[in-house]
Amino acid sequence: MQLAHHTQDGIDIVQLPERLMMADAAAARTSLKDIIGKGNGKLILDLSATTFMDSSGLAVLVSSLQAARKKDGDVYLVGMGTTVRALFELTRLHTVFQIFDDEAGALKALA
Amino acid sequence: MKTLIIDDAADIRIYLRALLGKWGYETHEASDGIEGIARIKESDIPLVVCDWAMPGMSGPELCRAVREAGLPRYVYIILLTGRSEKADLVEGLNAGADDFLSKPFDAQVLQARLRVAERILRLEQRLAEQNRELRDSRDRLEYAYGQIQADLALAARVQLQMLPTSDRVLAPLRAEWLFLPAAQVSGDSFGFFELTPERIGFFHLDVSGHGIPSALLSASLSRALSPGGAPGAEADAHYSDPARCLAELNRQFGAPDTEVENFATIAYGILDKGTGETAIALAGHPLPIVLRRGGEILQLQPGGLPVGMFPEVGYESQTLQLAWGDRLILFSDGVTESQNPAGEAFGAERLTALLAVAARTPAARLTTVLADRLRQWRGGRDFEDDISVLILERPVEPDDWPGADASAEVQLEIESDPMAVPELQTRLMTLCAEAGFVDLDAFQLTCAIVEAVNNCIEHAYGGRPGQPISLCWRAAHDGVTVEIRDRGAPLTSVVPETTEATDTDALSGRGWHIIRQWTDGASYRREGDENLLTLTRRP
Repeated sequence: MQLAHHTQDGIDIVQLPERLMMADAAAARTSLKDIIGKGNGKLILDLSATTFMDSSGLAVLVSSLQAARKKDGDVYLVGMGTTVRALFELTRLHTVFQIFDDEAGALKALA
Repeated sequence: MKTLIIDDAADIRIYLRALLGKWGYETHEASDGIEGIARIKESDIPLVVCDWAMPGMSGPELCRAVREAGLPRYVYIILLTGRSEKADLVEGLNAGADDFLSKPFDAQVLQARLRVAERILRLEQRLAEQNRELRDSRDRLEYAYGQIQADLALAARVQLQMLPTSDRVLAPLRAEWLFLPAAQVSGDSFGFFELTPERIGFFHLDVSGHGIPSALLSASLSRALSPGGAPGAEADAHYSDPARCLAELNRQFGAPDTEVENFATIAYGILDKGTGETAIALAGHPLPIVLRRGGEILQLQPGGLPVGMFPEVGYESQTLQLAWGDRLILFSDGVTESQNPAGEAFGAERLTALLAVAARTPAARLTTVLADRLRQWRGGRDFEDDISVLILERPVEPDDWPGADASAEVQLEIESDPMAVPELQTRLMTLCAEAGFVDLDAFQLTCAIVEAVNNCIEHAYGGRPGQPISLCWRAAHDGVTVEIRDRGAPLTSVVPETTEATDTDALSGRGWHIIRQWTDGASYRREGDENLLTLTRRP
């Protein structure tokens, strides 16, 4: 799965698609692991286009977090909508991930 | 006439006093400009003879002072001057002097100049008087206008009181109405009355033209269309046949041989409260609309000519049936002919379109919606023609509304393929919207269903593609029930007790956690070779 991706100050910024579900899970997981492997382990995931996610999608994000942390990096989440936010809070993942309102904040924190 | 002599030389003053006195003028004196201007201000002396060269305030300076004083009367000033240079004369005139007399002056010339002054002053007095009269006249007109406005406001109130105040007489039927006169008094009118304990009569009329003549005819017709006093057999016979009623009315109000002055479009009908049977006759009125409970629109047939146009006009009654939940909507042409700023009329089509989507809207709200829409259409400008709408309704209990008892049932079939689920998710969001779930509610329910379907694919079918999964979606007024069936292996880890979120694959505790938390009920049953998972969610 081709994810929109660019780098800034050594930080990888990836746009997640409109839906992250079981159908996309495996491909998305591989792509993200790839990006993390090639980069510093510092990753910003932009969810501003994401309107739907299921538990497989959440698992993808969690696995990318694990991969990033192994490289002493981290995964920050940006642009989360209210519905996806509700999903995170229900599954308590909002305590696991750092969530920012905008990219600038995340960049500053990760740098 | 009073005159004021201003000169610092006493002998001149004495001389002038003698002359003017001889000629019949009432003389007053001042010895310098300052005293002079004071005398002018505190008195009503209109004519001043003043020396040019004086200590303190000169003649021209006095003139300037008088002109700037803003006195209520005109003061005519003759300057006595020893100078005759053109420049001096110009200066004097510009300063405000009306005339000059050079010294030494000729008595006859002075007298002649004084007469000129008198002529001009009298002219000024006449003008002032005329102005006063005009002002009085204007005041009287303003007063009269105020009276007329007050009377109109009163008339408008009287007219409003003639309209129905409550629809209690129609019970169990209901009525709602909208009355927006363009001016204070209106040519539109409507009403309803009990004809017999079982039958009610109703009418809606619109008199051509505006203002008081239309309002008077409107009031007159309204009275004629309602039986006064105790409705007896006679009244029953007359009023219970709408066509006959209109024909009779037309005979009474029809113009004899004179030109048509005012006419009225009328809708008059009788409605049986028990059966909903309605007989209605139309006289040139905008065709009333029947809005059925299910949203269908029925427009009535055209009727006869407006009342008051021709002496002999035939009318026919048409019949229709109002079922429970149906509405009969009568409206004046002010509604359909309302023009927007571009000059386009609102039109019958727009009206029926608006009513079609409002089938479930309570009648009271419907009149508000209609009023708002029309104001919007006008672009904030005033209404040019009277707007009136009468809605008669056979109301229905909320529980009886379609969609309350009858549920919407949708059957969805998908294959056990993760790639099929995104499309299902989209379909589910639509079904949620139709069931009245929006935003977070819709998201939560859809998430739960998606997790359940994922569960079928992953665990019941072990990831095998091409297997059938069926969803039965049932939406009722008390919520949504979704039955998810698959023919896979029995789901052993069904509705687990613990719902801790773990970070392994999908369909671990996380999936069930979502299903448990985001539905009001999740139950599992094995039916033969089928798994049945039932999810419910209340609104």
